[in-house]
Amino acid sequence: MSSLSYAAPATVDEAIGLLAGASGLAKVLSGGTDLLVQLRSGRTRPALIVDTKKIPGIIGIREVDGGFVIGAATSGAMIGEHAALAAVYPGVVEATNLIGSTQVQGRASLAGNLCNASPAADSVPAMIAAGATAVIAGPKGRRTVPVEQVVTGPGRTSLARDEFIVEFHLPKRAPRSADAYLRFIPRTEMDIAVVGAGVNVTLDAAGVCTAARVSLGAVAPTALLVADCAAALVGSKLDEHALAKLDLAARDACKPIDDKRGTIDFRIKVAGVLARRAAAIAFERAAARS
Amino acid sequence: MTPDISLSQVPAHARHGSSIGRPLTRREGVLKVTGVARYAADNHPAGMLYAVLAASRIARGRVTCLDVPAAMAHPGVVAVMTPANRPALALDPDAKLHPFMFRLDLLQSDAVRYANQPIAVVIAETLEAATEGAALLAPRYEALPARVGLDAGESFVPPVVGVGHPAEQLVGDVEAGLASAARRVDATYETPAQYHNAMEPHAVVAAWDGDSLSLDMPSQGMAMAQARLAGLLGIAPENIMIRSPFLGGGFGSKGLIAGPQVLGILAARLVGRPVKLVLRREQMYGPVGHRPPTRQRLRIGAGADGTLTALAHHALITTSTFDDFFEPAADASHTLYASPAIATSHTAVRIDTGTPMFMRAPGEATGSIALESAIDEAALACRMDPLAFRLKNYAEVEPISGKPFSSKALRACYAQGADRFGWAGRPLAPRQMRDAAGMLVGWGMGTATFPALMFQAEARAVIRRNGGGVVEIGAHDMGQGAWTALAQIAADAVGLGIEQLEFRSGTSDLPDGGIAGGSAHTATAGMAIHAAGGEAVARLAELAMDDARSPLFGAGNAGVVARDGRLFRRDDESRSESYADILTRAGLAQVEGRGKSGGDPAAQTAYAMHAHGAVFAEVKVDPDLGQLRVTRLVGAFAAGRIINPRMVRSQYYGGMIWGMAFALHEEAVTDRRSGRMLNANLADYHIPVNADVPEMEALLVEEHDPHVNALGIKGVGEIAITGTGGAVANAVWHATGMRARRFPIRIDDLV
Repeated sequence: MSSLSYAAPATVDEAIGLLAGASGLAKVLSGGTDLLVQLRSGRTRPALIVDTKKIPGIIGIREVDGGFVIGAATSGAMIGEHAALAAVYPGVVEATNLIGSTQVQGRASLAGNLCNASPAADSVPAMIAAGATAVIAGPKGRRTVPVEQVVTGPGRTSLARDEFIVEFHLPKRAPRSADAYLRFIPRTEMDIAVVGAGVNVTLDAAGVCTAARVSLGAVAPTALLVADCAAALVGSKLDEHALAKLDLAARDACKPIDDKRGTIDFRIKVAGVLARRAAAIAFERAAARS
Repeated sequence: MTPDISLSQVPAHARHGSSIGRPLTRREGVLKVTGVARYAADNHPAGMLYAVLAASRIARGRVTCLDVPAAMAHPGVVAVMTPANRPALALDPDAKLHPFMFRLDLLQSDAVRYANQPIAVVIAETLEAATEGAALLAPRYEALPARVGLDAGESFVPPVVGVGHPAEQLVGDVEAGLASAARRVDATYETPAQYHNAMEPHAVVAAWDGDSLSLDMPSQGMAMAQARLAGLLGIAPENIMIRSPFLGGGFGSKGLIAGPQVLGILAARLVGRPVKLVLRREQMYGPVGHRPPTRQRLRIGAGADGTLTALAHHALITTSTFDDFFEPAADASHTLYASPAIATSHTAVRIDTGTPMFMRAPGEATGSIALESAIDEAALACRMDPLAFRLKNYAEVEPISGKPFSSKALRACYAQGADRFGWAGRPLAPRQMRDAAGMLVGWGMGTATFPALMFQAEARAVIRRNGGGVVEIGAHDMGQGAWTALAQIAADAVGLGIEQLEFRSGTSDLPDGGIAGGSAHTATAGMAIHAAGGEAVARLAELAMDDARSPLFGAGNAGVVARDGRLFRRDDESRSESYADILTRAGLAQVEGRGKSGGDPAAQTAYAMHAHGAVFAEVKVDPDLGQLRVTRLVGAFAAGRIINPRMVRSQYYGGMIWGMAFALHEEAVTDRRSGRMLNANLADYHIPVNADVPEMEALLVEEHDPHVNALGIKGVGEIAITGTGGAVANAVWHATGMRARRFPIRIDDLV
């Protein structure tokens, strides 16, 4: 007979203690929009579920030192309604709001989207492009890691079994910075990305790109931070030459699989097109913020 | 002598105060939107237990072990039903006494014939305990390699296809027609397996009382379910009470009782308490029927002027290893296009799948998307506009039979649809149109058709002295609005306003309303109601005309007309009398009439009976990504008399959306190694989301049919899925120049 325990600790330490002391598989619950589906389908059969939503501060968005701190279990709906965040990091917000349906947005969280470790998670390329970091709590205290170092493969993360994410930090913006996220799905809504592309840029007063981060989703086992894509943008005003280099670098970075949603060739092609389009949006937004 | 009160001689809609033709809202709409409507699974009789199916995870082989003790040891589990202890049946579930008796999987052995086949039932005090109990069974199997797909084995010519049609039909000399053709198309199209996904999964709440059985169960055919159950259970049909007031969609999957519903009933028998069994979404992918995959080869010949010389349509289909249902996909080519030579043929392959079954426009939907695509290719080969090509080959008589049509307003459908859509001026060549955002724009069209069928039904009508009336019929409201439309027919049949009429339906103790399938429910049940109402009015008329005190005395052959609770002398409407006065004087509380319906064999022999339509689609395609959106759909349909235009439009919209899904989204994917479904859930089995549904219009084209039935009703439930898939596919070609021959259309194929 299998049994499932549920705990809703009120502090981070209590949560860590529960995770560390679990006899079998322990799962962290924030929004639950992946976990509950997996429980129902029998894909995961944990012995313990630790619901983090009662921990103070784990839900909510704070502006700190010119940047943002987003609680790990903050819902997509709250993120979408945060005007200041949407003004500074529109790409992160639009990516988060693409997850699921309106109902799912009421629960779905950044930590869940990241730790579910799907290669196609929508918020992840946007967070990587934005330079987001995750604050991970564990028995030895807290450590801060770039988001791109959290997921190690489909369904796998670098978190120890007694660790969980408490919050994300989005850094203070340089002037004329903006981000954008685009994804391709066959259907209009309620679908999983065939390819996702997040682009984050900073421009100088002349409109020349001085810094860039580009991340691609659903084209490899984990979301990719593609340095060659960034290099294609830096120093350019996004002319046709830069776009072609960006397109090529994006395609070169892809290591996708064939599945029902798209073939390898198709995903590679789409990655290039989406990188171009996302870059164009990010440049336009950054220029408008001067 | 029977007085002439025959309502059928007067078009019902022409009479004053008629309810027929009014766009009434659903009678049960308030119940549904307020949550008051009780669907089968909403019922919880006292002492009820929950049953959960354990379903096979292999597609072929046998179950070697079920850990029944582990399941029984789980708190709350009351019983585990397996082949070892399943209550005895009076009829072997594998018996096939007639072609429409389909074999059921009722735990008759340890054999597994398809993935998701029921292999045990766990009955418990709670749903959670039953679910856990089912998991604890941890079945072990002896698996054989699964046979998957259209190429899994030797194909054969089925004995019949669909509902008893010949698998091969031929008129003229197709090979000669092809040989003499100036233009030829030879193209092969593939359509995928599609599975039933009604919002409400199959459910049953069963309670036994001795040898009497009470069931809450969604059904499109209560009387047929009653008869099937009576045979299986060895009890009298009248001892089985079925309540099916609301269905959360049927689409053919609830036409015949499904195996899992019978298992719920047997579970209740086993434990001696009421039992509820509801299928999980993924359990719908196997035991409740599906649309099989097809591979269809179309060969079309045409003269230089676009006149067809030959049309050959072959369909390869799959069916199960243990039963015979053959999707009549090629039959779509029988009725639409005038060709001196037509050949249709079917071959089938047996694979390890649940038996395919009726699914909205079975045969017509699968065949239509291939035929309409091929016709588009033929028009292109002739350098003709697709609409002009269709008009050039317009069938004045049914091509396969040579019979005249009972009515056919397809020309008007083409004209009105094309006009509304703005078809004129469409460039012949593809990739000619772009919108302001640079998207490629394409326009395509398809012809829709569906036979106008009639089944058998009965009804009872009562006219009361208090000015009210009752009409009773065991009809089925699947969400299509049957109760509303039938009540409109009933009100006219008894000559009352719809507000004065009590309409009773949805239970099996009422007169048999026939099956709600084949787009024939309104015609079939409607005609039974019409006959029953007519008989009740005739009784009243006899009372009045035989009574010297009545203003209608002696009306005799002149006859009477019934409306608004009064009888009027047909030749002198100043002479009339209320129902209340007639009954009061006669000392009667009420009069009653009974009516039956069924097709008219003479008319069916003389005429080909079909509804028709034309569908026009616009798509936009991102040239860099192939991302594809349908942006406009216009359908124009002629289906005889329209009882309720609001409900009918809704049927057309639903059909058109499904047709679009057929072209672009729906596909069940089977794992070739295991024979299991890879996408047996609504996250992975794609149907359109609301945001995918474009601007739509459905035009109701006027059509009067004096032959189909006295009310002139054809069917509207299935036709709109036909034509639409082809229209969308043809629009995709027009936008991109890429011809999709594999459905659903893969965006990868467009870039």
